[in-house]
Amino acid sequence: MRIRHLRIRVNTDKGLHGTDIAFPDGLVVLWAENSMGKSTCIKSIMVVLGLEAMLGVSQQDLPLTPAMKSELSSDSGLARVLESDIYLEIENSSGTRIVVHRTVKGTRNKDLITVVFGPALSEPRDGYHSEDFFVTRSGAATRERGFHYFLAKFLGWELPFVQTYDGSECPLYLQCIFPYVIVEQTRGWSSIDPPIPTQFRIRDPHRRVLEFLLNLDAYHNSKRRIELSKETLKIESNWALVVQKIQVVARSVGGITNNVPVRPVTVWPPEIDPGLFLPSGEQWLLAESVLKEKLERLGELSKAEIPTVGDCVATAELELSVLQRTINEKEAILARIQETLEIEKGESSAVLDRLDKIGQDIRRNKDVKTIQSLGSTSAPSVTSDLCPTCHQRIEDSLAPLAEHQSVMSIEENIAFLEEQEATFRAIQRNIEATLEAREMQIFRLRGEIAEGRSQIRALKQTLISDPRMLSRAAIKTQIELQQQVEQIGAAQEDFESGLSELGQLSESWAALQAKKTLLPREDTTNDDREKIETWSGLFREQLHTYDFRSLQSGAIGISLDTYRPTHEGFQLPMNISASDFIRVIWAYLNGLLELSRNTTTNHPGLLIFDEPKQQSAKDLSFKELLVRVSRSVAWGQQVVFATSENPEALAEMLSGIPHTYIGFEGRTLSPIEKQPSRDR
Amino acid sequence: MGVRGITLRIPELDTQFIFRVRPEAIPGDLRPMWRIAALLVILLTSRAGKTSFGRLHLLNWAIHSRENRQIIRDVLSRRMAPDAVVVRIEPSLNRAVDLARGEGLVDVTGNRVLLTARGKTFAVVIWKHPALLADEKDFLQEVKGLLTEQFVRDLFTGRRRVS
Repeated sequence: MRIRHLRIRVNTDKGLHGTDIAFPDGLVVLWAENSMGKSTCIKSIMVVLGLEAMLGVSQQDLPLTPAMKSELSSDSGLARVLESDIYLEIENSSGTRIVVHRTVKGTRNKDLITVVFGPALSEPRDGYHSEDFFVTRSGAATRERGFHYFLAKFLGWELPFVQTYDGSECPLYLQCIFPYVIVEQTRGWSSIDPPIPTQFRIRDPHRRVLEFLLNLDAYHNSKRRIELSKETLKIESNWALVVQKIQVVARSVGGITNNVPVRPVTVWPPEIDPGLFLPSGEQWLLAESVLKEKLERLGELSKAEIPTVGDCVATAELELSVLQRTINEKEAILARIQETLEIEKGESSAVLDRLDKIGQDIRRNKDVKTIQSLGSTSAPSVTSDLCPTCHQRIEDSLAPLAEHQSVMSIEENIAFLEEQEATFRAIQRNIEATLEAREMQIFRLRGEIAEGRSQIRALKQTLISDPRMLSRAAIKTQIELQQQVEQIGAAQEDFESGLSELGQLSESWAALQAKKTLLPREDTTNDDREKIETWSGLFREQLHTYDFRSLQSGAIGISLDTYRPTHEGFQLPMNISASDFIRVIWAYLNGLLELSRNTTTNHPGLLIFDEPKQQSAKDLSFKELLVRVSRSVAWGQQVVFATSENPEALAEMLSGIPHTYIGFEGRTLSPIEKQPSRDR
Repeated sequence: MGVRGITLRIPELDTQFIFRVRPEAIPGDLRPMWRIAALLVILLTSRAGKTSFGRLHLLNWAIHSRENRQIIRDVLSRRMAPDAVVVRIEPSLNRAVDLARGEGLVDVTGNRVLLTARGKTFAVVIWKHPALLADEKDFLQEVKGLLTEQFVRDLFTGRRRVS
């Protein structure tokens, strides 16, 4: 990104004021006396790009000087600002130019940014197409109409999505990236890490921005990792959903499932086939075989003609006695199962009770640990196993112990209890599963008994009705059988479709696991390391040239982990001198710019420093910085310095260096003749 | 202290068996520190930081478990007859009082135990710590002022009746 032309227009009650600055490639030095509006120009560049979050958090008011908003001091005294506008022409790496326009004061909404598609400032003519975009509202970086979404696209950037502190994701906002490109005077020179606005609550923002600016594989890898873990979560929850569905299906017919893996597996079908089981007395039978058996019986029944009462008196009587017997048997079984259930319930409540006690004991032991950690100020000496009176060793127990018996330390005791707790929990889970199956059995058995009874009633009715009529019992049996077959059949079908869903999930699970193994163990690759080492080299070299003295510049570098300057592997100490501090910022940020010359990065190829000298670095170092950044012209990059250095000294330093000098005698915002202009 | 062991030789199994005395796990409320802390918060919720041994034993028994706490609530709300309550007198509490006295956290005058200034500071620290003795503190807060010395005397002599 290059800046091509900045135009500021302030209409006041004393006439139109403003400025026009053209920016070529390479080093551009903006010079004006202090408080003459230099910083206003730099801030205007930020504001017109919708980057005001870099200047402070206020949402209400654009962070610009009063000159742009209320009162402009001009040579003819104070003038009241009626309207003010900023226009900026920028060019991207493929040479396309656009003009962005934002109103600071006026009737136009200040959250609107108008983009004119064409070099309307450097080559004014009619007929450039323009569109409005919005900034500062949510979606500015993600939606089609958002200005930052547009700007990122214009710059050829694909903004990464990053994690925030509340666990969600957001795009890496331009407001976070630009502090590495534009160093603004009030906040930019106060820390080595550029001041990234904190209101976006992005985790580890500096690392994220550098990973993006340097186009590190680490970024892609960590993104990939996040994607994979999201996919993992998705499959896991889908799996759980299907398993739950299967269990509901099983319960609807009074059955249970067996061998259905509760968590995703890569091998499908499992070694032991999952099955749907239905209770039959005290046994569990595979639903499939129950269904087959019932179907066969139904087939037989429907083949045979429905007998009349007269036909079946003898068989009905026989059937009646058989039914009676089976019901009696089933009732006996039911009683036995109910008894077992009661015993198991008793066990369950005993285990729950035990768990409760263990929980309480764990809490108490943890209490002791907490008290011990309260420290010596308030904790008495019994915490150190000494008798407070005679100062002899005492055991850490109030209950008398057998001779030579010692007690566990608190930590041991907690671990011991937690192990017990885990065991009892496992037992409890087991009992719960048993209880559920048992209740199913009872439910089923009761159903069968009720069914048998109604069959007995039907049989009895058959026996006392007209011998020429069709047998009621026979019809009833057939209808009921039909119903059961339908029910179990549907359940079996649902069960199988659930299994096939699991099969598909298992396939994607296996694919996911394979993808996971393909990820490198570390996010940082060799290419990344090479990039950072090159950057580190450029950084060190500059520090040496700029006469950095606080530490041995040879031992300084950039960390492969944090991408921050380090000294002998540690963070830079705080006691380096103020001027060296400034040198570090120069070298760090210009290093990034220089790195982008020979490696593929996302750096926009632009660097803007407001008052880079900060009144503390020596002239000699500053001259070296000017020499160094002036080389940017050869790579089509742009470095803009705004300064109020002594003009003679500055001219001396700039002599022999390729640069563009833009000096303002007096104020940067000066009266201008009103042209029949295209300002509005 | 050293680990005491007994070595056995069993000729049929050509190997050595060693029996060691392992440290014993004890309930958290038998740790002196825990009981002292409990003692201090009981005193902190008592009138003027002072209480009788009888009342101390009652409260000590009450905070021991959920069931016991429920029993006290039932007696207080007269759902249960006081003579149905069997309060366990724990010798370990007396030992805790002795240790706390040695630490200068409490004083004993006659039948009464009272908080010293030092004890009170520590008790307040425990009281303010949200995670410490949470259930116990909740209960004490709940029955504070209801479990009077008179109530305890009545309870122990069985004079209180369900109306």
